Amino acid sequence: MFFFFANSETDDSSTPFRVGSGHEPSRGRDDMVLLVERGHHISSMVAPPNPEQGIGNVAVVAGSFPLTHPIKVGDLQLMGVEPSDMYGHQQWTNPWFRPSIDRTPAANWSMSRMQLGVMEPVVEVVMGEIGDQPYSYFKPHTGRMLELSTSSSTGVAWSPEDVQEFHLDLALVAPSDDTVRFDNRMFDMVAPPPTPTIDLSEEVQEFHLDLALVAPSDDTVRFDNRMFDMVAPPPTPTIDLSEEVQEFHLDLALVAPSDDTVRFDNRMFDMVAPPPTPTIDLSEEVQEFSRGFRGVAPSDDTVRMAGRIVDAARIQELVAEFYVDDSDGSFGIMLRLPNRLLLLAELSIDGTLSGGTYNDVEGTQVEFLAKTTVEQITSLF
Amino acid sequence: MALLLSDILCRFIRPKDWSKAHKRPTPQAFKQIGLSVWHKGLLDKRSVPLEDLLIGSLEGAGQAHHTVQDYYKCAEEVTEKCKDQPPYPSLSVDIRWSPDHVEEPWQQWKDAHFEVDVSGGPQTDASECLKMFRNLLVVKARTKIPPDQYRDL
Repeated sequence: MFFFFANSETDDSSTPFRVGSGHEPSRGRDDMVLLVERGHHISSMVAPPNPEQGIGNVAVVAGSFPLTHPIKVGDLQLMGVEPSDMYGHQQWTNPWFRPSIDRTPAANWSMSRMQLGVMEPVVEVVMGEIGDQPYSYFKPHTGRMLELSTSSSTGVAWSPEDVQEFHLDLALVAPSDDTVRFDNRMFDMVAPPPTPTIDLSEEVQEFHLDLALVAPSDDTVRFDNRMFDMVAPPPTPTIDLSEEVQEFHLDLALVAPSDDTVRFDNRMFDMVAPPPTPTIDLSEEVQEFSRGFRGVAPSDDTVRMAGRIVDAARIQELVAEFYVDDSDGSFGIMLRLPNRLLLLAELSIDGTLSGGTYNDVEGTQVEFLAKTTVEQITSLF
Repeated sequence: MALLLSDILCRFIRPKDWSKAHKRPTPQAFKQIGLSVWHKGLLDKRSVPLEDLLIGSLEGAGQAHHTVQDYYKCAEEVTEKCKDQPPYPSLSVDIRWSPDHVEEPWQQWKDAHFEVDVSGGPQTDASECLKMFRNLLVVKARTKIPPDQYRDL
């Protein structure tokens, strides 16, 4: 008779496990049942999968053999364990494996894969000896220890209560990081690609913003990124993400985004945004302007304003002259507009921008823009 | 000597503020309204070579030419344009001949010296209007330069 239960008292695998029959101490161990799955190092010793039965991913093996280790396929066969036993789906179709209990995702997903016969490792078989007493137990990927005892029976006879207890125990404890990662990997391997009916980029960004308040773990961010990479179609660059990203950064600056978040953000931008036009002019005049005047330096935004004007003038190939006024440190712009008017503009250190258009043949002012914006000035180009 | 306010005044511009390529002062040359302005006619009548005035830091400087009317007209135009913009700033121009303080190199030509002060109304923020005034001075100064003597700018 085989007894399988979760030892909730031994979260640490270094803790001596209990040998039991159900919750009771085991009385014998001449027979053993192994639950192994392909993909696990033990499973590779057992046998290749049997796809014809559709359950080859998981082998429920019943047999009688000495508890030596390492276990080899030959050991099992010498002990009378036939491949049909290894892959017999009698146990596999056992209703106990149905994910009928809504527990942690880890438990549900794992058991779902088992029922579907998907080749995923669920447990790790650990074998050894204590004194003269051999032992083995399952170390599930929850990081918890499950004991495996043996009986004289060659068949598998897990009780529904045992399986349910396994589920319940899993539900009571927070899954470890390993479990989460395993869970994620399980999902990645078997889940069909979801239909991208929503724009995940915004969802993910919103998710990040929300999580920023509670400091998502790096694993969460990575999982999020990976999920997005898997299912989201390349978004159409209908908006200027550069401003979005900048705003996003500004918001997150208050809560110190992690490096991963910033990297994700950058990657998102790289994916969808067209190559940005250089927005900061590094000309000598702009650099001089950025150094400030009498200990007062313009803000980065103000320097960018100067750079944007210079860039726009260069793109339009306008005849222009830029200078820094040594009386107050302001940035001066003088250029000939396409309509032959003369533009004179001045960007103060405090970011105030003003300018006007003039007819320098008649010596008259055409228009004056007080406290204007870069966009208004460059719209004249 | 009677002053003819319509006479052309000249103003020496620091080398840094004088564009040799374009033969005109840069706009920043007009930020400091109180810079010295000379009566070109008086200097010419007294046979003072303009080069004599290029002393020290003014070596290699240029000249901006104005008339007194230019200053008044500039102030009037700006005041007119600003009157509909609260708090209705207005600009006043104060032209002083032979100011008390003239830099030593030019003390001997003090009587041909001008100083111009432009300010806004006491309760107004005239900064934007002063910018307009400066820009207009630049533009009007350019009208004194034959078009073939400067290029696109």
